Amino acid sequence: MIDLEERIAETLHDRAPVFVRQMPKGTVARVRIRQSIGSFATVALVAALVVGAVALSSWVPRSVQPASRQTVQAPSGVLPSPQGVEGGVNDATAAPASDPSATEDTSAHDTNSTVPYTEQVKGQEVYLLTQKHVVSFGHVSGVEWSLAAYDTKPYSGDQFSRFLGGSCGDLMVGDQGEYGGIGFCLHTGETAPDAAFAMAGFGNASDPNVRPIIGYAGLVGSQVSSVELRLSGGGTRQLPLYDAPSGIGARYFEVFVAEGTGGHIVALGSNGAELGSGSLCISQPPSGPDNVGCGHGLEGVSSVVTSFAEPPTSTP
Amino acid sequence: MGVEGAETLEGVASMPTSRLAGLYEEHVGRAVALATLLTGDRYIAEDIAHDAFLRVAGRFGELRDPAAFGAYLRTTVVNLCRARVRRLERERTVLRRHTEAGVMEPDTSADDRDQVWSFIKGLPYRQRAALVLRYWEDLSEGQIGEILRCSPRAVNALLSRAKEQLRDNIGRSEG
Repeated sequence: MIDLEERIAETLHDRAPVFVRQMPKGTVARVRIRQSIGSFATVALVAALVVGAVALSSWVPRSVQPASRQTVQAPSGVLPSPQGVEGGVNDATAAPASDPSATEDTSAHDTNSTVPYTEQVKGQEVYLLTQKHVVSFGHVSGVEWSLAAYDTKPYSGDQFSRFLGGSCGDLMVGDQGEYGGIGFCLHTGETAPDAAFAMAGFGNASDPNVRPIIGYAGLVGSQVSSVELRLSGGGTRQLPLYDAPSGIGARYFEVFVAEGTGGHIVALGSNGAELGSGSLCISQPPSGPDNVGCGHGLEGVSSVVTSFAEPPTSTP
Repeated sequence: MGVEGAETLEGVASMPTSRLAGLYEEHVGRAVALATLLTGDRYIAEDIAHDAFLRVAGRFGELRDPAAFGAYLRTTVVNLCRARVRRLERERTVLRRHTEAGVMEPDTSADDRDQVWSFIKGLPYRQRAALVLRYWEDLSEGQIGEILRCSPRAVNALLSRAKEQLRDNIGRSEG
């Protein structure tokens, strides 16, 4: 260990000698210009905010709802809808003012890019039929995430968990997956061979500098026409379905939610029939035998399962 | 990167040109070296270090702790390198689609004789950054976490992965 660390340190010092540099001509002027621009931008921003606030206050009809009776949304809910923002930057997304998760930032992209992180495991060739293709990525609480799609062949060896073959996916969090991630497959020992829906949940509250990150991701077969997020406090939202490259016969979804959010994700057929559902149970996993696949909540990365067998939550 | 020499600084606007030049001479050489380690390219590093200096000096009056000019410059360099490396990776990805696999593997040409350096350059950016900040800048995991915006534990994980990867690569190359 020490030998390796010494080699690293020696190599780095050898490769990066430090030389004193003279300041090039024009640098002072450029610094002054930047200062001027910064000052002007600040003044302009303040002015715009003041004008906007005045305009808003004159536009909103005050008699509609007294302040003391205004509806306050419960402290849970879905983070702001995915936005098409260029990846790789701090793409904080403005949320509606009434959304309690307005301070969160999250974005998603339809993409074929392979730049975002994908989990590569030594020896994975024994079960991978395709490469891992990123179908969506973005940021949540300032942390990067990526959703990858891939296809597998049957595998029953000792090196990895058993694969029955078919479409799978990974949701990884962190620029290098350092916050962990989850994997899910359409066909597992727990799902029927013709399963149309599978999902998993992710929870991580290990970083004191980052709010707890809770997300769910999954995939659906061709029988499914839409996937809905149904919050326990009421409210339903259709989740985007991301296509995978040809050769991977599934579409993928993901959603990040605020801590404490409960409910279900439901896959629907074209006739409105429920073809599968999974519970949003990462925040508050049931205790004892009632905990079926909800993991250990936010104590670590947990994998929730899917469930074709779970009873429907409601009749469409 | 030291902060000494900056503690008596006032706002850049009122700073004589000679003081600004002194600040440049004190910090930018080290910033170039840091950017070289992070990008693997000295010419790109020169651009990034100069750009970082302009940015930090340009908002000197807004800094919470102006005495820590060097630390702000270091963080800005790491962020700019990250953006540059990402852009390069995107370009390489496009290039890779049009060329045969393996063309853009870590450089192991005769010109790059130091294998360890070649393997370090092949690490993912955050792992490489953590390694450089730890073993070249000699920062603690907490300080690295502030720059990379992650917890000390996450930094530890990045360092472990990087060293494991290096150990594997070195082991293979040395038979």
